[in-house]
Amino acid sequence: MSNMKEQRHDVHPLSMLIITFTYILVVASFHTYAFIELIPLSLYPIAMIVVHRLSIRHIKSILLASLPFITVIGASQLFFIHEHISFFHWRIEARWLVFATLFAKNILAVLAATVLFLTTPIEQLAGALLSLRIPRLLVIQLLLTYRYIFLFLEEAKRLRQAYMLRAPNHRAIQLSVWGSLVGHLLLRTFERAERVYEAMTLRGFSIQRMHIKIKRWTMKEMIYTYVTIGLFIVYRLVVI
Amino acid sequence: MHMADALISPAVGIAMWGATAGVASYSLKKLNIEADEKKLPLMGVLGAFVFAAQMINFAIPGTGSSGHLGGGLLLAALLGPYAAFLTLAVVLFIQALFFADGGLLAFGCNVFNLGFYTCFIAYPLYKRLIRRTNIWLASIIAAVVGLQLGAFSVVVQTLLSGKVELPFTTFTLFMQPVHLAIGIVEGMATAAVVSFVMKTKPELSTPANTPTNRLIGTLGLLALLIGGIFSSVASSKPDGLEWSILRTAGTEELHTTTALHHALERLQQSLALLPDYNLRSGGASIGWLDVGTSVSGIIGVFVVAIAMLIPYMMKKWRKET
Repeated sequence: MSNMKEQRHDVHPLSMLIITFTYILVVASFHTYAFIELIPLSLYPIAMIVVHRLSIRHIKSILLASLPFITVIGASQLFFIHEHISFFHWRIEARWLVFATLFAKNILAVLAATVLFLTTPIEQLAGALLSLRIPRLLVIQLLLTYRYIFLFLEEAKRLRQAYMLRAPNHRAIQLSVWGSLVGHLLLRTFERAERVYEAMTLRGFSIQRMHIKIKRWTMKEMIYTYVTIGLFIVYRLVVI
Repeated sequence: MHMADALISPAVGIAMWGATAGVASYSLKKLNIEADEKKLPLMGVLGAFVFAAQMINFAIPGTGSSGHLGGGLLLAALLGPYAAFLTLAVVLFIQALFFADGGLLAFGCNVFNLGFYTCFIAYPLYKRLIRRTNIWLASIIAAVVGLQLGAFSVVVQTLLSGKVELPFTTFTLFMQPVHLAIGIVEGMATAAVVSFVMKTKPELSTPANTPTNRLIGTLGLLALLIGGIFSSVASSKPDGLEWSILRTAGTEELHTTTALHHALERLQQSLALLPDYNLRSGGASIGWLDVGTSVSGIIGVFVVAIAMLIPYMMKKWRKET
């Protein structure tokens, strides 16, 4: 997905990682009634979406997936907060403001993470993690797991479909059968790991020698990063 | 049980990132992947397997509902605790980044809640139980213990963050029973898969290294007890520094004057992990037990214990190699 974007808009993966983390940190640090203060912060993800021409439909689906959990927690606030506070010139119930703030924070944090993932290919992200001194083993793990997730998801879908076609009246798989079904998927996984390892060894793989490209952090990118996170931090210090 | 960034304060998020990094680096050392390079692709594909297996729902016997595999305990049973912890950390990172399931700032909390307790407490328990009882009971008990601790951790981290108003008792009484049910389902799922693997490929379900943690466990429980219960009974008199300020300036806290001072003070207030060693929402108490102070005590014990254990474990590792 992220490989499809145009090259000329590339931001260095390390910059993206640092900026995203600082952004989420700033969003999270606002207090529970800071709904209005959060609104200007939405400029960053919106700007990124516009500049990188990211797919709104894809972002919407990720955003929707994150909402049920926060809605439950937010809704619980409606039962526990009974105070009234003044909001501009109105006197409003505090619980709705807390609910709105939680919701806004969640949307901003998820948007920032989604922008990071949509603009930065996983291989470049791996390079950025390596330059942050994250152990090589974990980075290789990340690449391997990411590589195989989509493969196995397909396999799991086929397994489920095959069962459902044979037992059309079942809403879910019986536990006694489920064990061997998933067990078989697991055994296939093991066999695949074996084959992967053999193929890797035949090509001369070793953890130390595995090549992960680390892009150079140029002066321009460094300035861009510091200015952006500087803006976030200044905004946070000014608006308290 | 995946926590979102909106529920976490920066201080709690960063502290848990630190704790997770500590446990991960210890696991990396202990795993010694250079000696067993073959484990690397296995960890990778098993991480992906957890994603895939979560898609396949099963009917829960006796109820009308269905459940799916969580994966922590299963990974530990197949890979051993160290490799399982690292695999889970990677899985959670991918979930946070690509599926918006759990946040980036909350990543440390999530790895700790879902990985640490299952791999380093539930799994050793499972190993011990499996010798005495059958695999179903052993994995149900272990999964329940792991999830109960994880759920309690979620409660503590949420309350310490002070981003939502949730009474400690109500939140705990809600989270623990829900996760009791989830734990039983997780245990059944793990047992179903592990017993299948044991029948077909018995050599796969016995990983070599497990932590010896009887001493650490006993000390940990003792410390939690002291931190949790006795801290609330402890004196509320000002500590040394505050006392000396009181003596010299005539007031307990120095008054700040400039606008910058005010701004920084307010920032510190909003970032503080345990303002005056109490929960920000504060106030809750059960009898003589002050819940805020107790929870602060428990968190304090966790942080100190982790900080102390890491150098000790690294030293031990160096001796072994």
